[in-house]
Amino acid sequence: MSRYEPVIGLEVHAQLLTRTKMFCSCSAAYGGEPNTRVCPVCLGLPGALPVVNEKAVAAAVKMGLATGCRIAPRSVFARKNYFYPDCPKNYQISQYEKPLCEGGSLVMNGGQKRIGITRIHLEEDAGKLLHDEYDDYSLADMNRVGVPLIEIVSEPDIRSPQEAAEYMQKLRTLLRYLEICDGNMEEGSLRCDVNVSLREKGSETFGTRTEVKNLNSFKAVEQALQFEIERQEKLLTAGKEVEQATLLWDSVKGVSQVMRSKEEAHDYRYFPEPDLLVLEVPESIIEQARGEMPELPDARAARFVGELSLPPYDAQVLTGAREIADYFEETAGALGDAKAASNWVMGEVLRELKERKVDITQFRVRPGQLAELIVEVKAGRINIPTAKEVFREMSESGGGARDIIAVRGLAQISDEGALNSVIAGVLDNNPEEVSKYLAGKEKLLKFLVGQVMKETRGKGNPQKVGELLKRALEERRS
Amino acid sequence: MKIDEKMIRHLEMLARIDLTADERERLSEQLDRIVGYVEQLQEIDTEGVAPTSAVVHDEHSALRPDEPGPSLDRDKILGQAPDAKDGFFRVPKVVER
Amino acid sequence: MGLNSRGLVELTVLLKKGEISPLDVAKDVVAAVEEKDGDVHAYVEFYKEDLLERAAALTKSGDYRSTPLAGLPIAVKDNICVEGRATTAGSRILSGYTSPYTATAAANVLRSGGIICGKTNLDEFAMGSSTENSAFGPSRNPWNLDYAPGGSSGGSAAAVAADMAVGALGSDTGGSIRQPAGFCGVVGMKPTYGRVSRYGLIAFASSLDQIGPFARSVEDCAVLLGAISSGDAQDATSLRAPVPDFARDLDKGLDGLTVGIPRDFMEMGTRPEVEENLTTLCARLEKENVAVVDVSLAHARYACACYYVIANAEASSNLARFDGVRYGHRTEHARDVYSMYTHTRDEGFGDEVKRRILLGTYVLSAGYYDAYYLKAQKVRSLIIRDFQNAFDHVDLIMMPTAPSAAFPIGEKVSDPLLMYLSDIFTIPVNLAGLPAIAIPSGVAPDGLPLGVQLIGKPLEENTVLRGARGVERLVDFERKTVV
Repeated sequence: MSRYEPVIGLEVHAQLLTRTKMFCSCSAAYGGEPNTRVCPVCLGLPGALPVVNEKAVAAAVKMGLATGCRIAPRSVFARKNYFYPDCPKNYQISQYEKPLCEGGSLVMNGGQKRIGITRIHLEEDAGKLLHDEYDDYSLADMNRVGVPLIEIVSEPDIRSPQEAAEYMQKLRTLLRYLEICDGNMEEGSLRCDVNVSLREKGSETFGTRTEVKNLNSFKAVEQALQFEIERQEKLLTAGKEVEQATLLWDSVKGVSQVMRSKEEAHDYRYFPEPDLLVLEVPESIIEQARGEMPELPDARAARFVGELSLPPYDAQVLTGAREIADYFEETAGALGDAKAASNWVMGEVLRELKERKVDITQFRVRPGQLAELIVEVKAGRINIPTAKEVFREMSESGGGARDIIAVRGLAQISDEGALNSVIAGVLDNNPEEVSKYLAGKEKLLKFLVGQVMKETRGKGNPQKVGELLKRALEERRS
Repeated sequence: MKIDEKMIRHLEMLARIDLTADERERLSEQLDRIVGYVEQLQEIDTEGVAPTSAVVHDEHSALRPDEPGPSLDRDKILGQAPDAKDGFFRVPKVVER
Repeated sequence: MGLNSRGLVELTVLLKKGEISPLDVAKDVVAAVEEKDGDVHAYVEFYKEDLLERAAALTKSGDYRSTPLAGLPIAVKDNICVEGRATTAGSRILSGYTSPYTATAAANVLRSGGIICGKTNLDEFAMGSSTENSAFGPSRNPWNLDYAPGGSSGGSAAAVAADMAVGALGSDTGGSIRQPAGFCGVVGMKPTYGRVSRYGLIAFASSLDQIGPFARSVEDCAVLLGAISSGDAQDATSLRAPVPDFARDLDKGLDGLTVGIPRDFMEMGTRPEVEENLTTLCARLEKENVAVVDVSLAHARYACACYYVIANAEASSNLARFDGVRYGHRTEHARDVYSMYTHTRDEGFGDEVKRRILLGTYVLSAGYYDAYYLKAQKVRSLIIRDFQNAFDHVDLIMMPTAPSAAFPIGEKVSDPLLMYLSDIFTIPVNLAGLPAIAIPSGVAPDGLPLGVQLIGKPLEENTVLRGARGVERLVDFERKTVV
């Protein structure tokens, strides 16, 4: 056991799902031909001025409310001054002394752990630089410049890399529930910087911290933290000091490297953005955000357990994404059996989505159709293997369960007369097995059921087949 | 505070201006005088006074609806860039300092 | 006398009656520019062909008769963007730059039927008080070519004073419209902060910058102000309040107005002829039943120091975008991106701009922010409060436009601090965001014009214009340019 414990805080940047940029009316969509989504404002042309996007403010307010933050009636935009070729104005408009949201928290592990949220503020994204390895030049694409971001800053309440990843996952779920960020880490819609320091267990003071940047997956968050904790621990154990620094994580090599030391730290010269007045969030935006606030994942999971009697594990998996939870609830509602719906959604539905790499909102089997299929199973008209086959076909063609069952003649044979004649045939054709069974080798029942199922091409109601077979065998005993 | 050579070099770095030796000597002397003049602000008692960063004469927080507008023509923009390539602005290699 | 020297309103009346055409006016303006601008150098670029073509087209179509500016040539300071036109802000760093869009104020000139006839000279990025800090060389005062026209909107002031435009736009951050108007014997106005959109004005100090008109009479100034004013969805700091009819109260007379004189403040280095001019004017006003009273602007004497902290802090950030990446000048001596920045900016900016950027960087930098920037913001609050208290008692505040008449070219350019002090009377107004007008008030013994400044309450341009019109009628003033 280590004598040190890590103290971790996260700064998460989330791109907001607005149609236009933070301060101008260029498209905020991902990608596009380089430098085609630019205007005088985001290109920093002489004389251009920023104007705040109302939807971005509303989105930030939603996240603030969802994390229990205070929404500042007056918040202030500030300029963060630094020169970099992906930043056309050579300052970023952000919020500094007076952010929009302050003092919230996120609860994890079913209420076991509370991570404080220091602040959530609005700012603009930078462009993209391509560094040509073969050339002494860099290329700049300004399409991403000005895309609205919220920065979510946590308190140093996190104590392990796993907890950090979990927190990040939880934030992502929340952002997606609120429909304010698509959470796509590959495309950089969600990015993370971490601050980490070590201290002796039981100590109340903080050690010297370092910042690790460029963490673009949950795995990277975990690995980079693990790496940094080990690095700091080695230093401390050897009696050396940790130096304050900013490091850059290289996910390919699995190492972080010092980007700049404390001496090289930037002096950003923050000051209030004089092109924008104090941001007074109109009451209407806050009210609307409250009105549009969906049931949040934790509350929803609790309800699934309390009202629908789902096991906590099911509830947590199902509420991991708003669309999945919606899908489940609709299915359960139509079916009137939450556990059966949960089993199907967590099993077949999620598997099919993963295989087909399709979003649940685009999935061809709609909740009503899934419920129809489960009804057929519950009524004994088809068995489970058949139902899975029908489900696959439904996800392929989008057809209804009953139609597929009828067209393909998949309905179970539960009719005793029909089954009895098949059974008689099977028994006649397998006299050896019959006599062994009657001699006490009852395991052979399974073989005989299999033969009947084979004859009915899988349509026999297995339970019924078992019953009738036993009865027919007993009759042959005499 | 004296604007000495060390300070002016620091300011040059922050402002990304590389002065020549002549300029540095001339400007640091002038800046030092100006800062000396500005020093008179310290005479004023501003206890309890709120800072003003903007003068606003009507109460309206101007927000913009999230409606897309036109973007600029790329050729027009890159046409007057000092250096451009394949639809990108081109700059000398970025070296972290 | 050519049509180019007539007033804006007078010309619109003649144009609407059909007695003259836009082409007649344009031709006379072109003739004046060709005759005089070699000496004055008011223009960075004069759009001769374009002016004549547009004026001819309007003359042919007759479309000018229903618009307020009726096809008249209006000059624009070259820190105001016009689509398809070189926009330099008087700086080498913007050499080769053509704006792909038009500033709202310039668009308003066009929408009001005016023709933008050229771009006028200025101190680089509007930083200066003499128009000597222009990359294109200084402009000259039409009253005496050895003298500076003031600045930074010296080109606009000189163009209007020398009848080379019917009206002009300038920008005023610390007096850059009013001081050159005073030095050139014309009318210049800085409206309430936010009255005219700043969209498309190349920013010097965002919380202080304001575009305003130059004209040869108060009435002309009011009409031009009306043409350019508008709330603007592209400028978050522009006023949403409706734009009034600025000509409405012009002829209400001075009777019943109370005018405050900040005597405590004016003791600072004011030349005797300037003081005498003001004393004479006060006496005349009292005869017109104007109550002239003393007001105190106790903190105004710190305005200059306050201004040089705030304006330059903002400027250091506003001018960061001139970096050689996307437009304008780029050095040929770049080894990497860092040296591209530092050399581009060293080569592209002039001395005054560098001084101000470095000063602004200093007052915002770690360890100095509170002592300088934050302190200055607090002092700004006190200066504003002084004005508010004064305006509890008076309708207008009056003081000289500058402590002296125009100074010779070269006299102050090597002493930045001395240059800064020539704006001492105009600066407090910007810090408080108030409307103010400069109008001619007499001629100094050396033959150069003197000006007086009237300051009003926020949004009360009409009271300012009314007072200015009254003063204009009281003073004996005749423009005596040498060109």
